[in-house]
Amino acid sequence: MNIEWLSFLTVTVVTLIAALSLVTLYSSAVRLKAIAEDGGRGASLAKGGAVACFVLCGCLVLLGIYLIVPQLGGSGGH
Amino acid sequence: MEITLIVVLVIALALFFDFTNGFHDTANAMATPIATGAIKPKTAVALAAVLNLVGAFLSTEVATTISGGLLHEGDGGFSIGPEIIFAGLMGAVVWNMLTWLLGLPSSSSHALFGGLIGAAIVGAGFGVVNYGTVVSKVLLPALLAPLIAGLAAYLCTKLAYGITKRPSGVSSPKRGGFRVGQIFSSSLVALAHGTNDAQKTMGVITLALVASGLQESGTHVHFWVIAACALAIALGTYVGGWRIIATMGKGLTEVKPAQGFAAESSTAAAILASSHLGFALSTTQVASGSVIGSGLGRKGASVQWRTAGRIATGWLFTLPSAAIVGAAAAALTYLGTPGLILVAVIGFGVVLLIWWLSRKEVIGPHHAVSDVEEAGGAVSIPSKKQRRKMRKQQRRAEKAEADRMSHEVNLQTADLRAHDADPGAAVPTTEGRHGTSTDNAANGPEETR
Repeated sequence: MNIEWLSFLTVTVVTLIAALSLVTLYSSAVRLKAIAEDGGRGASLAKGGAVACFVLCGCLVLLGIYLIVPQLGGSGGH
Repeated sequence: MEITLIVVLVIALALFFDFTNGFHDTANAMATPIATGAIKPKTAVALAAVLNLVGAFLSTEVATTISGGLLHEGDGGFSIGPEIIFAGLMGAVVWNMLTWLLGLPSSSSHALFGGLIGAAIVGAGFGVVNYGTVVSKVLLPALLAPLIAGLAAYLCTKLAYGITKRPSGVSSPKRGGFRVGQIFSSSLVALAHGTNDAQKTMGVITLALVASGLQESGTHVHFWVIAACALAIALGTYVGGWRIIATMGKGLTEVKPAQGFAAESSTAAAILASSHLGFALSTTQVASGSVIGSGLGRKGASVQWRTAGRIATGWLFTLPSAAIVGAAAAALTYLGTPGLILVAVIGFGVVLLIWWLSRKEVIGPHHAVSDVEEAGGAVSIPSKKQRRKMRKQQRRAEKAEADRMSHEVNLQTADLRAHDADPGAAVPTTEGRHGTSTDNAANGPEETR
């Protein structure tokens, strides 16, 4: 019986990294957006940061899909 | 001639299974955003359907696992014929419909594997199943994937709440952004569902084509198979699932937008990573693992372990039950063509019966949303924190009441004593007041004790 423990480890690590980085980016964006909405000093800076975080978050998702789809030339398809 | 008819039957049934799969699993992707009110049920379901369609085209790793590894090939191709695959599929379809009727979030994938395994064993003996692949690509992922997703969801929830924690004085809503975020995260789940679940059907159709000699073993999945499966799952997703949305959204744990976002990100990440490696896991189980994990990540969140246990029991029963139905159907095919027709007729009859039974209770978008709203408003199970607070308040109120009473009694008795000592008090009222005050004085110490 050939159990691919390495594959399970890969799935675990990839899942954790992907989910945690996605949530970190999105949460930071939400927080910065809230700070920007409060107004006051540094509001525009916070707004910029929020937008940057949202964009990074979207890029991360697209990167993930790119890696999975073999037709796009990612590492897919073995 | 015979063989093409049975292949057509298998393909039709496989596509119907795909349809019920979409029907069954809409909830996994869209239950949480619907429950939190981030998106309307109709819109959510339409979105999920489109993304399932897209997801089905993304990868074929899981299909390869099913068509290539699950069952042993003999020297001259498969030792099982398309009849056995038909019987296995029938087992899966019947079990899937039954759990849908009962509102149990069972796993369509396990139903499929169970049905196929049961039918194959009856059709060609115990040796035909590749148990190594079953364990490494089906059973272990089934056990580990929900745990992995649950762990990820737990950590993500902690992280999301930690990062967005702000001092209480600020005016802007702290976590308002997560409601919108949930639309995206649940879309990812729908996409991931398409990549994993639509492929299972592709795998089965390919298996049937190979088994009947219409396709070379070990070749890629045909494009028309991918397209047909994608369409079937999308249609199924669009048509159904209100019943399960109602149980998933409120049964397991109360979901807040930030928490839902964390849970869905974890679900999507786990499924996409697994699909890529060819693990045929159950999206239902991964989603449930995430929902429970994220529930545990919240301060004072209440997970109802009884519901969780009921769901886990449903999972345990899925594979063996579908295997039994599949095996029974496979046994009938020994009768030859009449047996096959019998399987088709009985299966069709059961499906119709279940559909007819479900019609009695009309389930629609309004039903789902009103159910969820009711759960949010009327039932509203208080979290531990709220309960503690309530208990504290109640105790304080009781204490205050008792204090007030004893204070009043003391005042009255003091007043009375002063009154009694005063010889020039108004005569008419003395008697009444005296009577009650002695009562009070007698009861007083008892009450304050």
